[in-house]
Amino acid sequence: MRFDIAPELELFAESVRGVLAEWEPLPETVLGEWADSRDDALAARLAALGWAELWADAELLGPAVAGAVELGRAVAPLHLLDEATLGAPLAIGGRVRHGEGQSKAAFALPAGGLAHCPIGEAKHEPSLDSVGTILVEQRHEQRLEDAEERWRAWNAATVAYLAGLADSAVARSVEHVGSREQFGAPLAALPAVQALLADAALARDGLLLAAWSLAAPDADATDVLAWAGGACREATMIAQQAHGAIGFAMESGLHRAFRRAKTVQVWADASGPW
Amino acid sequence: MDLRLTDEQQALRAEAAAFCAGVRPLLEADPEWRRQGMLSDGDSSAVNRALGDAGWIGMSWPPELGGRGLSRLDATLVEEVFGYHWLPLSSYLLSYKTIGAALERFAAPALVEQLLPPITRGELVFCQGFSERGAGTDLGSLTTRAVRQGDSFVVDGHKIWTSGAHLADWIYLAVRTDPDLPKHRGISVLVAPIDTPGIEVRSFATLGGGTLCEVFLDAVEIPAENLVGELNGGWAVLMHTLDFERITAEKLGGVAWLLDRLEERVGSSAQLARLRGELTAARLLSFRAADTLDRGLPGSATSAMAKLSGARLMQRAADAVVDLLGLGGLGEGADAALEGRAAGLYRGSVGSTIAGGTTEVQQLVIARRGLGLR
Repeated sequence: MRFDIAPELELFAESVRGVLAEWEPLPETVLGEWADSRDDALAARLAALGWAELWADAELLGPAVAGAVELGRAVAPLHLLDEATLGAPLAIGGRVRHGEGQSKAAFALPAGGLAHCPIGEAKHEPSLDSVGTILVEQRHEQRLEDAEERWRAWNAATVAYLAGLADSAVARSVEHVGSREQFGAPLAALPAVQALLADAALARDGLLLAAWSLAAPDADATDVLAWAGGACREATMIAQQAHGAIGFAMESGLHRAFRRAKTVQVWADASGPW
Repeated sequence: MDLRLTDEQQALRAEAAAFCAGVRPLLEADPEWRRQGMLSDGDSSAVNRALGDAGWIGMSWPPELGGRGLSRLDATLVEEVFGYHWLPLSSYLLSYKTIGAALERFAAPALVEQLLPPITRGELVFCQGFSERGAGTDLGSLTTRAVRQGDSFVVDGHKIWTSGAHLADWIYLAVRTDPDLPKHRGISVLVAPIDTPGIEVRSFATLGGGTLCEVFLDAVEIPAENLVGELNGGWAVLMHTLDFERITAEKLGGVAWLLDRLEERVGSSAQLARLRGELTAARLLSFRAADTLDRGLPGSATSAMAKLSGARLMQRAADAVVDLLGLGGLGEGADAALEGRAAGLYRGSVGSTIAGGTTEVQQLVIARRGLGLR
C-alpha cells in the first residue's frame, strides 16, 4: 500500500484543472425551471486529454480517478462521467440526464445490464439540479456485452467525483470560518463549528481514500458508491450550515455542490442492483 | 497512491487467519469470549501467550527485541484479521500497540531491553493508568502525585477505567511530578510492576461484557530509572500513546465478520451495501493512520479520523444488524443468530465513542490539528 500521490497522477490532475480553469459554468438558472449544464466544448477539451480512453484501460485508472476528482471539485457537468464510461448519457427508468439533442442514451437494465437506445420524443422535467433531465420511452435495446466493466468504471468515476465535491465543500468552509468573525473571533474558534467541520473532513478523507482504492481494476465499487453519496451529501450540508445565510444566497454559488451531491446520490442509488 | 495489498501483506494476513483458526479451542473454552461485545476489551492470558509463542506480538519491533521488523501498517493489517476472528486483544493492544509504542520511542535503552522482549513472548502484560475521577477527557487535570525521594518516586493517587489491570504484570502511569507548572507541563510517565507494594486493583463489570478496573496507589515507591521520557515531559509521551491507541483496525475486522455473516443469512441489500462502503472507508483511514506513523509524520489528526470513523461504524453496524435480524438479533450465546455477536456488539459499541478519547475530543483534534482551525 502506498498513500502518497504519484507525480504522474498529480500531473494529469493539473492538466484537468487547466481545462476546467477555462470553463465557464452555466449562468445561474431559475430554480424550479428546466436547465441543462451540458457543455460539449468542455467535453471536447477533456477528450483531447484522452479522458474516455483512460476509463477503458485497467492500467490507467489512476489518472482516471485523479481526473474525476477534479471534475467533482469544479462541479462539472455529469455527462462527462456518463459518456466516458457508459458511452452515452445515463438513462434510468424513463429519465435521461444531459440527453437533450443526443442520438442515444445508455439505459440501465435489471441485473446490472446496460443498453444503448435511441432517444425519441422527450419531455423536459425540471429538477433539483441543472442536469437536463428528460423523460423518454425506451425504444429498443442494443445490449452491451461489456456492461459490467462499464458500470464498474461509472461507479468508480462517480465515487471520485463525489470525493472532489466533498473536498471543495470542505475547502470553502475552512476558508469561510477562518475569515468570518462573530463574537469577536473567527467562527473557526468555536468548538461547535470545529466539530461540524471535523465531521465534514472525515467524510471527505474517507471519500478520497475510497476513490483512490477504486484505481485498482479488481476493486468492487458497488458498495463504496452505495455509501459515498450519503457521505458527500453530509459534507455539503455541513458546508451550507458553516456558511450561514451567505451560503443560502444563490450568489454564493455554494448551492451548486449541495444540489449536485444530492442529485448524484439519488441517481447512484437508482443505479444500484437492489 | 496504490491501496492494494502487496503479495507479502496478503500472505501475512493468511498466516494470521490460520493462527486464529488454531486458537479457536482456547476461545471456545472461555465464557467471557462469548459475552464480550467490545473487541479491544477482551481479556485472555492464554490467547496472549499463544500470540507471543507464534511471534505475533511486537511485529514492528526489531528482531533483537523479539519482533519481526515489519511496519506498523503491516501490524494493523494483521490486527484487522485478529478482529475478524474476535480474538480477545486487550493485553496485546495495551502491551504492544499503545504502551509498547511509547516505550520503544521514549524509554531508556535499559528499560526497553528489560520490557519489550517479554512483551513479545506474551509473558509481560501492561495496563494503562491514565484516567482519574476528575481527569477523564480532560486528562491534563490528573492529580496522581509522584514526589521524588532519593532514587525513587513515591506515588499516591487513584486511577480508574483501567483495562486489564487484574491480569497485568506492569502498570504504565501518568503522574503529576510538578504541580506548580502549567497542567500539561507538570506530567511524567512511570512504569512499575503491578505487585509493587501500595498498588491495589479492584475490577467491576461493564456493558461490554468484560471488566474494567480502578487502581489505588498508596505510597508506591517506583525507581527513578522507570521514568519514560523526560521528567515533566509526559504529555508528549501520552499523546504519542494515544496516536497508536486510536488506530482500531481490530474493531473493523469484527464489523466485517458481522456483515459477512449477516449477508449469508439475509442476502444483500442497499443498507448492507452502505455499511460495507463505510467499512471500506474506515479501513483505509486506519491503514493511512498507521502509514502516517510509520513515516514519522504528525499523526494526531489521521489517528483521530481512524478512531472516529471506526467507532461510529461499530455503533451504526450493530444497530442495523440487530434491526435486520429482528427478534433473533437480540439473542446472545453460541446458539443465537450470528453467535450472539450482534447483540454483544450493540452493547459493547457504546464504549467505542468514549474509550480512547470521546467523539468530541476526536472532532477537536481533527479540526485543530488536521484543518488548522483556531
